[in-house]
Amino acid sequence: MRMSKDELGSLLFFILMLFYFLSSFSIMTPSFMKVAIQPDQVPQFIAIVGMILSAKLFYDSYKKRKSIERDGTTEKKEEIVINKPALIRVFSVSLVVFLYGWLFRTIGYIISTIFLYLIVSIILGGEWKKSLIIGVFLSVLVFVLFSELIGVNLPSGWLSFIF
Amino acid sequence: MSVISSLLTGLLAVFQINNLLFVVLGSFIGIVIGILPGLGSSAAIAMLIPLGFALPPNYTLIMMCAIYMGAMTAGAITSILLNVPGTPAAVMTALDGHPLALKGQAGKAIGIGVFSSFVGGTLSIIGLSFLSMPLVGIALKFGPPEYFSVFIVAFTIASTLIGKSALKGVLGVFLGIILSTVGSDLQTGVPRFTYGLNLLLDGIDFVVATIGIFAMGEVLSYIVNMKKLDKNILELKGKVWPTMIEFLSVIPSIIRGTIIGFIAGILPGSGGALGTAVSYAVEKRVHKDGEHFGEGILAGVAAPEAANNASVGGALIPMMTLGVPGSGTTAILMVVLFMYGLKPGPLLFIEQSTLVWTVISSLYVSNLAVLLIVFLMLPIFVKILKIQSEYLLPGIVLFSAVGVYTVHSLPADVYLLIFFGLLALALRQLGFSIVPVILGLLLGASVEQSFRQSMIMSRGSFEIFFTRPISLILLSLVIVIILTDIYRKRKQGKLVSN
Repeated sequence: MRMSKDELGSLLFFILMLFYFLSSFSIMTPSFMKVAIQPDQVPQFIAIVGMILSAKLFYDSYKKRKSIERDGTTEKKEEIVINKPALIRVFSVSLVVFLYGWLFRTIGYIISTIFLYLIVSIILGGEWKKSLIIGVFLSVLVFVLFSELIGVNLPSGWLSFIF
Repeated sequence: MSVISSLLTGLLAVFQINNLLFVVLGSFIGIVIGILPGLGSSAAIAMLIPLGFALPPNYTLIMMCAIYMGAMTAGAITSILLNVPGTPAAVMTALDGHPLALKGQAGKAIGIGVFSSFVGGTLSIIGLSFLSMPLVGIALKFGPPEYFSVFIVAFTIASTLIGKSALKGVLGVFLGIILSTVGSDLQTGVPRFTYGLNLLLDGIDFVVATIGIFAMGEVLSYIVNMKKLDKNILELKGKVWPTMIEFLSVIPSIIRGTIIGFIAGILPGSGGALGTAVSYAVEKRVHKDGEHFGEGILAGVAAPEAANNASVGGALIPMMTLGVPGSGTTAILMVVLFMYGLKPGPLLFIEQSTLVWTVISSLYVSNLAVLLIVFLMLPIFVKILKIQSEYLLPGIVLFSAVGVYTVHSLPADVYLLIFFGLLALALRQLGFSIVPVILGLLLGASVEQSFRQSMIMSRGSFEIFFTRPISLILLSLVIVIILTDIYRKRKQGKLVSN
């Protein structure tokens, strides 16, 4: 990608600030209460200043990249390099955690937590047998810690006939 | 009550068996965390926040402060044996520590490092003990305009000191403030940026955000890089306890490192890494063997190690007296205080005096406990280095996911965990520091509140910030910091182009 990291970052920030600014118009300003600063004014100020600063950062980064390209040198660390295997790993782990949250109450704490550990460990290159043993051990340990010590009710799910 | 009598009262409380147990437990956990590369004290303390629901505040705070101390000390072990820092603050220790280990002097390097950490930590806690009350006295005179100005100073320092770009630092702070505005407005009660979701009416939970950013974010960053650590962990050779001559030779370096680390720790958001970097650079310049730094000089280990532990006491000062965290870890300690309904600041010292002085006194004890535990159990801790990341990281994910679930017993918090983890990853990949974001998130509501209250007091006039002396001094400091930063960057730019 031709864009540098700073350019991309500043662009994303600009979009965020713009979205934030536009969203601030949906904040109700109470007519029944007299306040020196309305609830939408500080967000609007932050958004406007944020957009200006993002634009400045983008401009500075763009100028720097063009100057580097003109001089014929490349600063590899500034370039955006998309590492597909890394993206897949991050996406996979995030998906597993998402499914964990979604199925936690249905399947139950013990089973879902063992699978969470096992699958994440395999994604990261662990052996499945070792991961399974450690997963069972940690699940029980965490169960004792949170359920018995903190008194949090962890769902039993499919194992409700046992717990 | 004088500081000495407060400390003695605190020490008496610390030596009750339950508190002592948590000091030792926290010290042990902190050492383990510090040794494991890629897992800093912030991530560990963030993961343990949910334990606070079951424990009274003194146990939790004592344990977490002990973890902080232990991690700062033990990071040196990994730096020396593996040439990889166990914590970010131990980066500089590797420069001379690892060469010493290559020469077969790993034991001596670790001994000097741990001892320097102990001295630096102790002196900084003495600083915390004696400086906090005068600061509390000043802070009690603060009204909303002064608090607003203090927060602006904090944001300015955090933005200019952390990372290479002040602009990125400010944008990070703004991102944190944006997140803090989600929920019901504190003054009027109107919902802001909730998009119709009742879940967001109470705002973004600090606990979930903190665990997501620090613990999950750390894991995802590690996954992206997936560095396979060099399995050739050097052997622990040689005596660990330094000789008297070796110890005396590094005393000046320890003192210099302590002063620098302590001051760096006070600066909001800077943490231990800044202090260690500056202390190493200064030591290299002033030490008689400065030109040999990087080849295995004991002072090159002593100074940064003293600095990183000295930053602990320094970072706790603004957090406890003003409610402004001095580091990422103290930001998490602030979240713990909020969780108990305690507001860090001058009133904490008045309303919760026993708790505050018990925690401060526990720092002396945990500092000593870390020293003793490391010396007694060092060979065992070295074995921990062999734990592979493919089995460690899923454990962190597991703790984090279950931990956030216990906050409200809602699956939605697990989704937020992923969101904040991905946010932290994206910020890191794009070269933004997460510390300004955390500062903005934690202090955003207070900044807005203090600003709006000031406007009510002044009937809409900005003059109030400039007519009150303390506020004026603080805002002048902001201008000085900005101008200094601009001057420094221009000077650097000229040096590079020459």
